[in-house]
Amino acid sequence: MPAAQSLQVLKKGMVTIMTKNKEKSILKEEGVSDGSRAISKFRLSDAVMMFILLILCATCILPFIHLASKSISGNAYVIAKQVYLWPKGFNVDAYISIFKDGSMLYSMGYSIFVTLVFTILGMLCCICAAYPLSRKRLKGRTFFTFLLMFPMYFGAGLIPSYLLLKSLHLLDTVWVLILPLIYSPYNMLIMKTYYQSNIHDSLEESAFLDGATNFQILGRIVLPLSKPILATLSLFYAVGRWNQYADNKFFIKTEALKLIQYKLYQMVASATEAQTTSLSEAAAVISTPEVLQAAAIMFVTIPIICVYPFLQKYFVKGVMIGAVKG
Amino acid sequence: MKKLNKVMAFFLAAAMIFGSLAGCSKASDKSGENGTQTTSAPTTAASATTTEAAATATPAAGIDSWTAFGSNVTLTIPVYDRGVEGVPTVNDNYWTKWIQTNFGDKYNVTVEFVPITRTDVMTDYALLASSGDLPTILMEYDYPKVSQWANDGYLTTFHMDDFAQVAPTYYNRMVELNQLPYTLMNGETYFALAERPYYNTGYNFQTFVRMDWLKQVGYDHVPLTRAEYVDAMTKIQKAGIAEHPAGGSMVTGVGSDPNYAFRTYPQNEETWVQAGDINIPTLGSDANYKLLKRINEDYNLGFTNPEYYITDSETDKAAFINGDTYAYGGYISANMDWLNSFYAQNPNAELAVAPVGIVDEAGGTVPAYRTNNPFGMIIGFSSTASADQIKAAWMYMEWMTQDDVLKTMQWGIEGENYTVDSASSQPVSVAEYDGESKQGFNNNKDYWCVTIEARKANSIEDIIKSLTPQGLSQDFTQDIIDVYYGQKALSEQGYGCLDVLFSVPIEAETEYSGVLTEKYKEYRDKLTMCKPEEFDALYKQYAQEYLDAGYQAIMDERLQAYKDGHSTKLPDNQKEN
Repeated sequence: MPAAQSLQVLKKGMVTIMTKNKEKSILKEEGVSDGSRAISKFRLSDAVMMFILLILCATCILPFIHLASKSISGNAYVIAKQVYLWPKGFNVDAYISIFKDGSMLYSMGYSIFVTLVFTILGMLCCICAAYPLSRKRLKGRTFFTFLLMFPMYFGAGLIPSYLLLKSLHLLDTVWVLILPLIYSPYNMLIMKTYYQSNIHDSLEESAFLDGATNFQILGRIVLPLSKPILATLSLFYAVGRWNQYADNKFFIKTEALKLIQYKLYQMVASATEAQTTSLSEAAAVISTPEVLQAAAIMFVTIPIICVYPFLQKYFVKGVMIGAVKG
Repeated sequence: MKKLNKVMAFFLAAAMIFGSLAGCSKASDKSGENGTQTTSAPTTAASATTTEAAATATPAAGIDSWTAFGSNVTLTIPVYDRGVEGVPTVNDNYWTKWIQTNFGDKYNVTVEFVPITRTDVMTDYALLASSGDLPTILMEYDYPKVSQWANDGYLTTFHMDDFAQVAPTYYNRMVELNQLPYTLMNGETYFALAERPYYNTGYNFQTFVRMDWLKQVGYDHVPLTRAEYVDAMTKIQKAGIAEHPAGGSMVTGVGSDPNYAFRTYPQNEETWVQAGDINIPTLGSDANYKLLKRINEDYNLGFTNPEYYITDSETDKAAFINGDTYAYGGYISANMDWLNSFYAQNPNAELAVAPVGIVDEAGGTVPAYRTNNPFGMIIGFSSTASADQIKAAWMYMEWMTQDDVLKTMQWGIEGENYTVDSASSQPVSVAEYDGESKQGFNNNKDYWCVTIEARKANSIEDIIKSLTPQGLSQDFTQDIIDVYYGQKALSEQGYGCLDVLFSVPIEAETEYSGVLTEKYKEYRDKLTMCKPEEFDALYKQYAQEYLDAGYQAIMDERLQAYKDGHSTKLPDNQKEN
């Protein structure tokens, strides 16, 4: 092809590209102007959506305000159900008795300690299961995956678990709140899927070529590359432990080993059951006053509420992060 | 590979379905789940040999004849963990140590307390049984629970003579209170029973009514007949004092609508047996018909809160506190939060204690009421405990029954937990005591309930005085004492009614009670809210459906148990000839 001809073709091509780009930019401009019009214009549908959102927000916030108001009101008003969103007979006696008693403070510190240890050990356990199972080079990984996923669908039930924990001498020790739950098939599945889709074999191969061992690959390559999933699952572990109280109920008898969530549960359950218990015992059964219950719930909830806004993005991430990409 | 995956998926799905369905087995099987772990045949405690000195059943029985066990014996005793804030740790506090020092160390017994979750007693015991860790003593207030334990093999049988040898004070008291028939199941001795003083009157449950309202509408007394009641409520409504003075809350189904006042006295024993206990309502019985007819009438007259079926009991209580309803009742104690709250909201109000009823022929009622069981705690002994442990348990019960021990456990230490009133020389508890010897829930009751259900005092007057709500603008002591004596008189006339107790489990109750409870709630609301002219036809229809849904089966089984001699009998003064 002569040079002049090819130059012409090139020019034509350039013109075509420029025309297309121009069209695109015009379209883009139109699109932006459409969008801005949509934002600036307040439509009926926006009002409906805002209304629904407001109601949804209210369903979350109002009970909390109600509880907060109860916790700083007089018990006489609370029993009379006169306290809604504004305290009546303002006093902070309930909080004073919580701090004075000290047992709730102790339980709080103890629960934080258990949650921390649980989260660290849980993550260690989860990584050690998820990473090898995500690697194709592991022989028999289907079999091991099956074994490790099995407990997600089938549980032995309360009495066999109780007997097992007794045989392991774990009952009524702090470890019964930590060890049985540190392996979570669900969390392991999320982490395994993440590794499978994000850590490519080529990365490992190059590390092998440089002489790295399995542990070095895990510690120096895989873990630094999986910070988002580590953060998310740590949060899952911590929240899971914090909210769980059934194991306390059956496996812990010593007062000092009870987590704060269980103490709250006991307090509220005993008040709910007071009438039935009264009938059974044919006598007045005194339960924790409602004001003190409300104050205890606030005492336990406020720290979580303070921390939560900083952590919630990981919850959202957690839903998507382990999802299968394809 | 794909085929293999499909097969695997199929098996997993099948296993999951079966796993889910496993929970759908008959309710009666559930007791097996809880209890079959230790269905060892009951051993007879007294037949086993005991160690050395303590074992010998010497003729000089009782606490003076006891000597320390040769080798240390561990006695485990359950104690309710009620989850109430502000009480000492239930299994390790001043009083558990006091028991160890004053009883355990003296007889070489290590006393250990096992916390039992008050709201989930059966699961706790089932877990302890499954691991062979049942406490030496098993105790509960509800007869069906202990009879289930006996049937599941948790409890041992024993010879009452041996018990009497070790614990004569306790035994003699059971004889005196005529409790021995209740210690047997299927002809074998399984239980020892604690005392419930003044059980045949409901002195510790009182209903408070608005006397100031009654006075406003021209009454100087609390209405006792139906006619007076209807008149008073109508006047209260017309005077604009309260829109729906009777209030009301949703029925729970379990224990709803007791109908003792609507029964015919003396009672037919078979009808009484078929009515069973208070837990399953007796829809279809004459008494229930009369009761619901009256409830329907109250609703149609506008006395009842038209939204009662969505009102919980706490809201109903709040309505009384806020001065919207006429009456509210509850178990009394020295510090009653709802009465305190009531007077805070209604400083000028005047309350009266509802007096005992009268025979109201026109209204179709008698002043009958449900008495408590003639015993407090029902105490059994573990089938896995050794003879020494059971002997230690009997010794503990006898020791706790001694006056000086019981007084210290119930009242605490003089000058700290209580002071002595110079006028009456009666102990008076120090309110809000928070020192080292702080007592457990309800003045240590969960420890001394092994022998008695109320604090010791010289007389019923003293007991009522210590239970009457304090710090109010009105004093109800004398009114409650009057109610006590009124009920005592009624009880002697045969109006204090005790429910039947079965010494065999009524399987149909376990199987159908859930369904019947739900059905009753539905039918009861419809019968309450229907028009009076529709009531009879609807009642007939629902009663039949209720019978078909399992109530007939329950009644049949109860009657059979009675005929087989597995139930208590009506006292002579209540029995129809």
